[in-house]
Amino acid sequence: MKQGVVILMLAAGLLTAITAAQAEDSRRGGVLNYGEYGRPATLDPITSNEMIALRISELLFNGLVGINERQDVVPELAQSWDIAKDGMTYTFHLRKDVTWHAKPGETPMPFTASDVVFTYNIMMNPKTITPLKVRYEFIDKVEKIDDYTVRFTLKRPVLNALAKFSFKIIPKFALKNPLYLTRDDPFVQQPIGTGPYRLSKITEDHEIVMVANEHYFKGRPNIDEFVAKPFADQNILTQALTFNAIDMIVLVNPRSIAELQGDKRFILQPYNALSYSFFGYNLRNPLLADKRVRQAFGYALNREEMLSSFFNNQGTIISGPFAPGSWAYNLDVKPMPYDPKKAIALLGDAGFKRGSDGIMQKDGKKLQMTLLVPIEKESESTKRVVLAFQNYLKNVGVGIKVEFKEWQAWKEDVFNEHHFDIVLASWVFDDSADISSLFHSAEIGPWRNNFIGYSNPEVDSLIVESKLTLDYEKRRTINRKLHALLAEEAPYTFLWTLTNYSAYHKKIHHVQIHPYKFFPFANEWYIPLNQQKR
Amino acid sequence: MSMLLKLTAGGLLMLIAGLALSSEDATTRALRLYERRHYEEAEQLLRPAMPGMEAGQRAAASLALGMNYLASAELYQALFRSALLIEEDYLKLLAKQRTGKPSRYVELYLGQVLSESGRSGEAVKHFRKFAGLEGVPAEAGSAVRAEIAADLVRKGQVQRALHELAGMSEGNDATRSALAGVYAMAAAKEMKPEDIADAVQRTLKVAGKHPERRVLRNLLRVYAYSGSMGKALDLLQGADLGEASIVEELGNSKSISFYDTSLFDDLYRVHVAAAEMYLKQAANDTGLAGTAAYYLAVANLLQGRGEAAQEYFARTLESGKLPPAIRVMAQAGQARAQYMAGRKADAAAAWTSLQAGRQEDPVLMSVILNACTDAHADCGKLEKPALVLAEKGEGKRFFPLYSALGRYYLRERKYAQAFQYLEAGRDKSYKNKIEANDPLMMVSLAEACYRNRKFSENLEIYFELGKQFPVVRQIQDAMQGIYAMEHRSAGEVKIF
Repeated sequence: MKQGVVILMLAAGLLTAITAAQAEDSRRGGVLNYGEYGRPATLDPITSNEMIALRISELLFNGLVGINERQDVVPELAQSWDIAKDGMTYTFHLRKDVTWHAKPGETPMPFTASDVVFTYNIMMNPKTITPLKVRYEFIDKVEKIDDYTVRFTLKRPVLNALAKFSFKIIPKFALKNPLYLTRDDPFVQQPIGTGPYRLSKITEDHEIVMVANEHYFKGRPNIDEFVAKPFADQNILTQALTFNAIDMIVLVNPRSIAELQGDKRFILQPYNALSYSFFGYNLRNPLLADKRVRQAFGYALNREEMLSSFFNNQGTIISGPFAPGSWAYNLDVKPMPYDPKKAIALLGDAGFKRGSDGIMQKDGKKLQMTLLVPIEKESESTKRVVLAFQNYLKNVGVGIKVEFKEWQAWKEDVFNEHHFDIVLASWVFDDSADISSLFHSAEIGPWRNNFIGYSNPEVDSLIVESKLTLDYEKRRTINRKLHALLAEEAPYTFLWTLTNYSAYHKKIHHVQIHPYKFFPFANEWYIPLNQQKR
Repeated sequence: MSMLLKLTAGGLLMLIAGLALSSEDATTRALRLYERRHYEEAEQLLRPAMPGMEAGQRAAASLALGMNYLASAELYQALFRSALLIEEDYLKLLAKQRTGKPSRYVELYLGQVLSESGRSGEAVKHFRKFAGLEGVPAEAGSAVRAEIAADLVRKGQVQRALHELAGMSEGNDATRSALAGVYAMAAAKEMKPEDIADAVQRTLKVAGKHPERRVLRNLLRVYAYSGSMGKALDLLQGADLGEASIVEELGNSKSISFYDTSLFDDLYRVHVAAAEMYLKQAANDTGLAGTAAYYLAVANLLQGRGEAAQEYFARTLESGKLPPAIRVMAQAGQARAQYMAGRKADAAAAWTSLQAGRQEDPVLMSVILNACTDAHADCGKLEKPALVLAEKGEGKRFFPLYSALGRYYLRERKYAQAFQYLEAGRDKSYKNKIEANDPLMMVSLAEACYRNRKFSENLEIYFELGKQFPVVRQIQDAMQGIYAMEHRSAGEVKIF
């Protein structure tokens, strides 16, 4: 009798195992083509500073820790950690089953503590081109304790320190220059990571093909291939989805939401990235260094009308440097109203008078500017925004010349050469809503985020105070002050936060989207066998 | 929350067509605002216009105003629940903080929230702790006594409450109004709470001041509990409902705003009583009696008066030829009223019977499921056919059904499904706009977001709601506080 029970149990166990394996097989395979609104300059997690590359990094790399959809810090390359009572040292115990991506036939290299130390040193090397340094200045040193243990010592305790160790780790063996990383290193185009997907190739059409990492330490991902397809225009992205040329759009054009909502084949999934659009002013230009001129530009724009007419009102007008969905947004600061008379008065206060051609002038110099717009943003909506900007400013006597540039050239001009008067751009933040790299004067310089050259000792001081405090409410108060101050200073004209929706075909299952990083859970997505195509 | 039936302005205009309203009539314009969920604007347009109206027009205006107040009342009731949830979580997190200069007022406000949530024992501990803290100003000590007394009234211990207040110096406006508020809650007419409130208002008027937020809440409480709706509504005109009750300054770079969550409850009471008052006026008109009875039934449901609600639903159902859909809505509501009155089996049978034969109609299925959800009944039998239909369905016609399922799962604490269905029920063409999405649904969706720790999504919903309903500022503030403490991220920013 007993033996019979055992046999039955074994049979049941076997059946369960077979069923599970079958279920796994039925989920495995398929290609997911997703549409991006451009192509990234670099594909590595150190030098890139754009969302397209960040999403790819999520597929290719891992951090020591991750953050799950419930805001918990979870193990990734580190399987556990110890935090000293004083919050000054973090010791990470690394997984021993992680290997770096290898091409078919190659032996994968093991991931070790040396890679962690190497990544940190590369990131912090002054010659490395990266916007990350400012985030990790709180770390004093990193030590390899043994092959699978690494210890970070901080300069001071900081809020949410553990989450900051989610930065992506790169391999020590893969860089041409072992001391620092620049955009000339082949690694930035052919990165090697530990993530669920490995870079397979970049096609002539600039499609980035990533294939499943068979040795992924969390288990092989379900979908065989992810392909990032670049599109120059958001409208074409929607068409590509509806004509089945792609399976997913990472960010739906707000004007297409209604159309896609009515299409039974697709799911629209919101993900609340903390983002906003703005006109940024180059403060190296003496005309724009005058706060009254920048404020005048803000009053000259009817942002409500622009949002309503060009984006179907799919968004929210903002008043300062944080998104309305952020914890740091100052609800007391109201958006600047549309008031062209006030704009003209402010320009008058700044010493400008209208010339015979209707353009404001001061000391014989005309108030004429160039607006630099990346060509990837040359969607219908963006074109309309740019045109409206031109017209609104013309009404108050400001001449605007619009120049569209290819994305890489735009970034070169804006971030490196600082060769612009005004830019139209958008920032995306993670939950920290950290604006320090945008407005602290120490962040002025090539390939840094304070590309407008904004410098204000009061803002610097508040940013530093905010970083030093361990008191959440104090940090909130400081950020509210920063919001009010920057709204008044108007280094940007803060425009709006647009609605973020991803759209994907219903054949893709188990889709969880991270509001900022987008793909951290992509290894669990799947396309059922009967709906896969190649 | 009823989510039972909201006639659109178009629908209502059909019902009152016999009254020959012009397209620019104040009632017509107010109904358009009502349809867009601009309740406050509708009220501000219609209420002052009523005295100048002819009797025939006044009946329609009363109906419209009653509906408008009822919609506001439902919303404030829903917001009150959400505020209690989010405020409590925030204040508990705040009380746990061990870095920086600690807040004292967190104890007082945590006590208030717990008391309003019915956890008197815990609440009193916090009140006593606050009262014992060093440096608490005298008027705050009075506030504590008033809150303890209010807590006792909530528990039904009126005499103990009055005893707690005995001998308390009336002091300033805040204390006098707080005392009056508790007297009104305790129905202690002999203490003349309304007279005290009127006197406070007069003093403020002479000084040319608006009542501070805490005084405003107390005065509102007095008028709400005393049934002086006219005074309550006048008080709300021009009041800044988004203002904090107290801003605690803790050094140069730290300030914390505290709010009285009970303001939502007081607003609910004022609005539901105003709704009843105007709907009863409308019910005197034979042409509008049936429609008014329906809304009066809903008003009674909101206030937990099952018997009265049944009676009004019965009047609705007897009032001539109702469109089939409206008949089903009234029947579903009547079953909810039965459930409330203790006739649980009858209610369950009624819902099941209503659902049979209507399993292809997403709107009616949603009405039936909502009625059951709101009754806190076992809705398992209704859920399954609703799910089957929802899985088959597509398009805007199904939004109410998705929302009803979402609300049901929210009540069942199945938060992932709640978010999934509420999100499916949101009109994404106008994501957080109340003109496209019922604010009641948005409040449920915001709660589902919160329960799933989608904090920024919650904040975005309230950001839009706050444009029409400034009182939600306190939820936003608490939510920002939670988000600031609970988020885990590295501090990344990228251009795109």
